[in-house]
Amino acid sequence: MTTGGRESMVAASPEATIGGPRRRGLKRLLGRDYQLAYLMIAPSLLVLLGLIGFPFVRAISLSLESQPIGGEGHFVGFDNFASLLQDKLWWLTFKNTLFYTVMGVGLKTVVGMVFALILHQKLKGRTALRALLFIPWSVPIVVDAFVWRWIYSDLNGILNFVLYRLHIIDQYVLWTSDPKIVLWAIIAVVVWQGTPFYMMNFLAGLQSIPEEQYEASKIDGASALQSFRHVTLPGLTSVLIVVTLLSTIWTSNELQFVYILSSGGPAHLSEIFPTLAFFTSIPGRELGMGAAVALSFFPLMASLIVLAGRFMLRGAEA
Amino acid sequence: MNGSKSIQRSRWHFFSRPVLAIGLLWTLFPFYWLASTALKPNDDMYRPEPLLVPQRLTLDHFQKVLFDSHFPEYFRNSTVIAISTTVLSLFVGILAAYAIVRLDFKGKNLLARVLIFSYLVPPVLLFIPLFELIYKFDMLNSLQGLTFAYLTFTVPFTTWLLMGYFRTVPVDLEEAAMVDGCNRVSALLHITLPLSAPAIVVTALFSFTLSWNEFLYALTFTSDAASKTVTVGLASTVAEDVFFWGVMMAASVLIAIPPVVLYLLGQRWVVSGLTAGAVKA
Repeated sequence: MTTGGRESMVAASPEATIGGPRRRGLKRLLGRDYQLAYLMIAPSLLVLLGLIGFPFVRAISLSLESQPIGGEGHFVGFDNFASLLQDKLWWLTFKNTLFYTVMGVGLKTVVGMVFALILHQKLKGRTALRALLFIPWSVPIVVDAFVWRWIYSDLNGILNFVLYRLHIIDQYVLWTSDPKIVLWAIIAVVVWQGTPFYMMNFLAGLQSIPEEQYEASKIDGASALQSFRHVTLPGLTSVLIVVTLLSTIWTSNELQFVYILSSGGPAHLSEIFPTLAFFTSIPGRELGMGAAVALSFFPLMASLIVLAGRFMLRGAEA
Repeated sequence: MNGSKSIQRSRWHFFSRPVLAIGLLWTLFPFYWLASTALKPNDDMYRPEPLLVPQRLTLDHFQKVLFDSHFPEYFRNSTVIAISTTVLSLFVGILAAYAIVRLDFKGKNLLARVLIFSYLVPPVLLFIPLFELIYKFDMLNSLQGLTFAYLTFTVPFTTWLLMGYFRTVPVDLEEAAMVDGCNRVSALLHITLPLSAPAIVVTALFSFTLSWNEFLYALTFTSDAASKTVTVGLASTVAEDVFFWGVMMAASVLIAIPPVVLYLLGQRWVVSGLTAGAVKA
């Protein structure tokens, strides 16, 4: 091992020279393959720092500024957050987002589980059924949302027509502009679109539960419900946790359904954080306030991200 | 014992068949309605009693989308952006994933952690500062601007997926090659990459679809026909015409075809890939 005096990069770390030839010391410090490795991760560091890390930090600093698009920004401290907390619209958005997310995720879990259990049986044409039930999730969300906007259409929409003909409703319903109905109408589309993802994951989870466990529970005289509780559910715990966590993050941050179906209306009754952040910052041209809206939702989001990330890392290392 | 079991089973069947039927109807009817609207003449569409089964079929709406609208441009933009994003993120992802899985260097666990957390950071947190960044670099309304923005989700995701796949390639093969005089880079090129070819195809397919379907960044960073993508192009068509549903649905069909075909091809891997590792299939 000769002294690697020529590596100029290396000279930046003076500790490396302590106790022996510089290069060997550096290898001990930075790992056997550090030179090639740092070269190979450089592009991804560039993306992580430049396009994610820096913008993330900038989002925080923007939220402390009054910064109109194209204008001069100035520091206002926590004013943006203070005025958000005093704003009825923020609280309404908070309530809507919670309701929308909890209902959406809850229903997707239940419906996804029912379909997974059905498809887990030995059905004829199971592969084809699985592919068909998967379609809503594979279509771009913007297309899903527009199809439903057309189905929900007040006058020419097929939903009103069919329900009216079946005497389920006695007058046409304004699905996306009735204050009492709008959030439910959007949640229905969210569930319709997102269920396949749950179903596929639950199905994969079900298939990993060994058949012997069911047989053992049968021998013990367990009913179908009991074996679901004591064999199926425990076997699905890790899938259930990861899928629900990921889906909570994705569902609460997806703006397309609301943006396309109702634009947050009527009177902000279907406004959620992603749409409020968008409308405030881009059409409203207030970048600072928009960043504050997005960040005001972040503490909740961060805890979900940390939890989900831990589970995914644990899964990958196991 | 046997009797009660078969009662349970038949009860479950009794319950599951109708539920499955309703589920299929609920899942598929919107797509039937999408396709039939795209093929219906306007006269049959806007009437008090919509026709559940179209009486006449027409390709007018498709013709309008393809020859008398901005959609061809949107398609070109989306294709260019999705392909450049995919190629770039594969390049970045393969290098980083290989280094994390096979090489010994300080900070690799930290990097793996940062990758997974950045994959989970929602675009809603990033679109405003990214808008500012892209604005300052004068890249609003440009395909490059959007491509850079899309790297924020495709790079962490691609790297994470490939890490999982590279771990399954036996390290002995590479070691044997290196004993025979291969260096690291040629071991990667000649052993690991060919062995993970299927995984790389799936990862590519995935990052293509994610970019193709993206909406928020495209909505924020583009505003003219020369740079809009299909998703935002579709959303801006609404304002242009009173009787727009036929055209909208025809365009929707065309937009949905690439991702649906790709997902159906890669279905098995797609789902296990998304929750990467946590869900053991």
